[in-house]
Amino acid sequence: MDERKLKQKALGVVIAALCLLLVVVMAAAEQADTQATPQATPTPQPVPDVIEIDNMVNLYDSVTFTHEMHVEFADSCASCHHHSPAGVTPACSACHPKAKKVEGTQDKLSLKAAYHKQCMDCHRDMGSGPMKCTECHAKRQAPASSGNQNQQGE
Amino acid sequence: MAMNRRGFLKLLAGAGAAGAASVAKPSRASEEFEGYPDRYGVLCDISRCIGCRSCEQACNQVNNLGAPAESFDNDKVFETKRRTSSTAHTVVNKYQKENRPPAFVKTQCMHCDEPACFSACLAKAFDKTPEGAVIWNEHKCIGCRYCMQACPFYIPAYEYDNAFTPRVTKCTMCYPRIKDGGVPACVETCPMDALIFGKRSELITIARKRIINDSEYVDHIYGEHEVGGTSWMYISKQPFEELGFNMHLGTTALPKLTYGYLATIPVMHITLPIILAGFYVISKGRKVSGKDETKGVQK
Repeated sequence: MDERKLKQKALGVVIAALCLLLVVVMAAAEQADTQATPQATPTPQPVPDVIEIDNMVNLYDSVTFTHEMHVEFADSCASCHHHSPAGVTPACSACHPKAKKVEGTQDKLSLKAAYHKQCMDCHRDMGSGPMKCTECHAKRQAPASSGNQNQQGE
Repeated sequence: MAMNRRGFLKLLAGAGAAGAASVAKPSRASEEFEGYPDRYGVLCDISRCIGCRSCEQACNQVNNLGAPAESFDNDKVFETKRRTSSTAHTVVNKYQKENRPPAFVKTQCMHCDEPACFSACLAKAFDKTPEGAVIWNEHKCIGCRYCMQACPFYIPAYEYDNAFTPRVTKCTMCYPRIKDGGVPACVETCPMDALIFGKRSELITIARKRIINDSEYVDHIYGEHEVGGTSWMYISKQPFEELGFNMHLGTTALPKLTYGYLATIPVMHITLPIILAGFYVISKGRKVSGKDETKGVQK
């Protein structure tokens, strides 16, 4: 009888020890994770000074985006290059499609809207920066392809 | 006359039953119509619209509506509330209250699942296509403009300045484009994705997701149930009542309100002559028997 009780106690101790070990390991892993993120944020990648956004030019001219200036304003690269692994800064067009048709129930902005929303939402919140169409891109006299609205704006 | 009172009542009951059966059948069929399953639609997110009027411009170009009275860059048009016309199938109006950002509301045909214009048309000039667009046929229209009176959104316009070949004009959801797998011109040009085009059922899911994920949205999809559902739907962060939306249209498709009454008219064309003929026979019979009675008295 006593021997059985002793065995039960020992089993309890072993389980408790295992649980403790698991918790310690998980905490350590989490700490390693949180340490890893800030390390990756200051990206050593070469940062372009100015980007000419001209991949959707039609009714308006291309936009000269002062990337370097915006790097100074932004908290981190991820402020604009969102939903990406740390240290990776994909172009908007890498995820946002030019096509406008909604397939399935995914609610992803098209490229044109992604550009506009990225710029204008921030400009509105900060209360500074261009908000009118022609403050960013001059209106073109002759659209590149009249009738096809696919590539209007920038 | 062979018909007696009992025979006439039998005939009347038979005609009534036949009439009731013929009325009940189509009205039941009408209630069962739930819209074409894969119909398209457009979701308009009012909170995203910046009032650039690109949609108006694109619509003008695609439909060859001619140069506008005011340039599309001119913000002064927002000073008055505009309606769709024969030269503008879509218009954007501005609504601004103090301490609130301005809201821009695009107006165009809502492409109802069960359109009142379609129901009111004498000549079957309107059609609700399986793609979801409500379109108008120039060759069938007789120019009565009942569609304009029937529309709960005041959308169809008329070319009053065209004396000889006036047309009813309204948004077609760019039917020729969507039939070829494209999207409406206004949707394509929208720089903020305030307009998105897709299957209506999928758009409702997207609208719900946006409302769930952002508590600023009003918990309502305008057009999901209004007048029995429309292909064009709106979500907003400001109350719809304050943005010019009619919130008292109900959720019943407007054609259903008149269907029962209208369906009885052909039936009445058959039964009413029979009833009247019956009254005639009875009254004639009474006169004859009355004569007999008086004769009897005289005897």
